[in-house]
Amino acid sequence: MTVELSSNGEVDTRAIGRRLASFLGRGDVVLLAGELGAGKTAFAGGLAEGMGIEEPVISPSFMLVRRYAGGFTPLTHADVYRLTTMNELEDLDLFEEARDGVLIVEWGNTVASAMPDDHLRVEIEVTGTNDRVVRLIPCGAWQSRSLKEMVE
Amino acid sequence: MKLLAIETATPASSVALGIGRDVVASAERVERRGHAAFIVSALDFCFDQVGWRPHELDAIAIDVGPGLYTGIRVGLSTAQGLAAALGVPLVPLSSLDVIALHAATHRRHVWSVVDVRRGEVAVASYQPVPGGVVKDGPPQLVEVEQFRAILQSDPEDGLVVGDWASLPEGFFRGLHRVKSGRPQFPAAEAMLELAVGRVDREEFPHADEVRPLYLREPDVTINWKQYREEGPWAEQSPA
Repeated sequence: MTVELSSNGEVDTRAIGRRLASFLGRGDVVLLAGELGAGKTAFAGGLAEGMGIEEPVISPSFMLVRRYAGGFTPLTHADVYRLTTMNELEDLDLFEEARDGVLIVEWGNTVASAMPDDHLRVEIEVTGTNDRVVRLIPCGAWQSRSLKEMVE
Repeated sequence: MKLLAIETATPASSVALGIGRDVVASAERVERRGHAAFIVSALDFCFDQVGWRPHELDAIAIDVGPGLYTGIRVGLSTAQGLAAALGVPLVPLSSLDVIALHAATHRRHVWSVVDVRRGEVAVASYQPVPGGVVKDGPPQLVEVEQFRAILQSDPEDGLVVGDWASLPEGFFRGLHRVKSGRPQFPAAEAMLELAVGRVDREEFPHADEVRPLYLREPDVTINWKQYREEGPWAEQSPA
């Protein structure tokens, strides 16, 4: 079941990410979708915070993959924006990199077919200058996991 | 002949220095990740052990796969960089050949296998000959079930070497004429042996032309435009 949350800006988006952290564990894959400036990195930053990672999360657009090992479980933060082919994605060896923790992929929607069936989709829709709708869409085995507590 | 062999195509990374086929220094580590961190320190360690300087090398052997994408890229870029800087030959070897070389054949038909994930394995078969093995044909990428069917229909007694431990549980059940054995992973030490002959016969491409051997099917392009028009989760279609 899709969970829909509203955000009035980056602070809210971060908070949603932070709340989601408690639902995540080793081996979980989160795919992020949203236009440039929608707040994907803010969401990922909140998620990292919720996972106990103190290091600031910055956009991995240039690096493609960043790994944060300082939290309760390692977080692998990837961005596929600069990729053009699926082989380049393979080259990142994301699942191997992230096997021991949580994987979050910005623009993950574009490579969903190469991702495991069991994943959580997070869609950030821009509805106003600061307003966003954040949708959590469970796929595969995620459908049997409750996200009810995400709704305040 | 002073040789360096670099092996990063599988979870077992290794580096070896040899005078001809005789190993004089080697380092090994088994871990799926972190090939890049291993390789530089392993090279330093090996050169220190024997007191060689890189410019003394006569050739470099590199495993170009099939195997782990990142591992192959790390090893190949390191080897290619060294070969270019030193102006020495770069000898590309196949992980499957390296594994098969040291298979204790017992006159069995040898099947060398490397896990490439997504339910597929890279395989090549070899006939045992005195002192080694001879490859039947080029390596193939097959689904695990397909590999099982191939083994089942092989009239000869088979020996599966390589990463058979990664095959699904029960894979060998019912395959009565097939045994599994070592080695599990290719090793840099074995590469020296294969490389010596290639260097002697001058059987190697120009270092710039050496490419990874992935065996994967044609590339799929990420269709960014489609997502813009059909919403974020539009289905992927092959380009």
